[in-house]
Amino acid sequence: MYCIHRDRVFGFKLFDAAIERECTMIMAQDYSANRIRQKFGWFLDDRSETDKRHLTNAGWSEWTAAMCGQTAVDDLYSRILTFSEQTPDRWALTDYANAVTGARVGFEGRAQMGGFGATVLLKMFPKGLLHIHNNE
Amino acid sequence: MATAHKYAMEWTKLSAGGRGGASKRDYGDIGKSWSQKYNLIW
Repeated sequence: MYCIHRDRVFGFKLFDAAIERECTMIMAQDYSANRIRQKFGWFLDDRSETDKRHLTNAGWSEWTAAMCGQTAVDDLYSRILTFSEQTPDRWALTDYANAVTGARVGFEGRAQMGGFGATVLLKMFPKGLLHIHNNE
Repeated sequence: MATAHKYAMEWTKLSAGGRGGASKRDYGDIGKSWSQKYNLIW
């Protein structure tokens, strides 16, 4: 899902249906309040609900949130901020983390920073690079 | 663009359920591609 961000950056609009589907699921109050959006981040997928590692990843979530709009971006970053301030491991920028407990999972020295640019990119080119190329 | 659109439509079908459907999909024969498989997961 997060790879589709490039579809928006270029403005191809090939994956609008998939983006709409995903964003609706993530931000729906009745579904996601307890199943995707957790205290320390968004679950990567439905396996994170039952897997004891309860995986989240700031980078992948950031690419997704950027496509879902400002409300989603604000929602996600409030959780990343909570994670950064409260993670018991004091490992504020990590790869995998536990979305329920805030614990770092696995990787060391592998902060995923690219996602921090996801929203900035889309704000710089709201219609996509293709439209700039076409002088629209 | 027609080829890209065709691929995108197929991918959208294969990724039914999005992240919420990750555990329900069968990834066994999808393009025999590591990247394609993981694109469908996340």
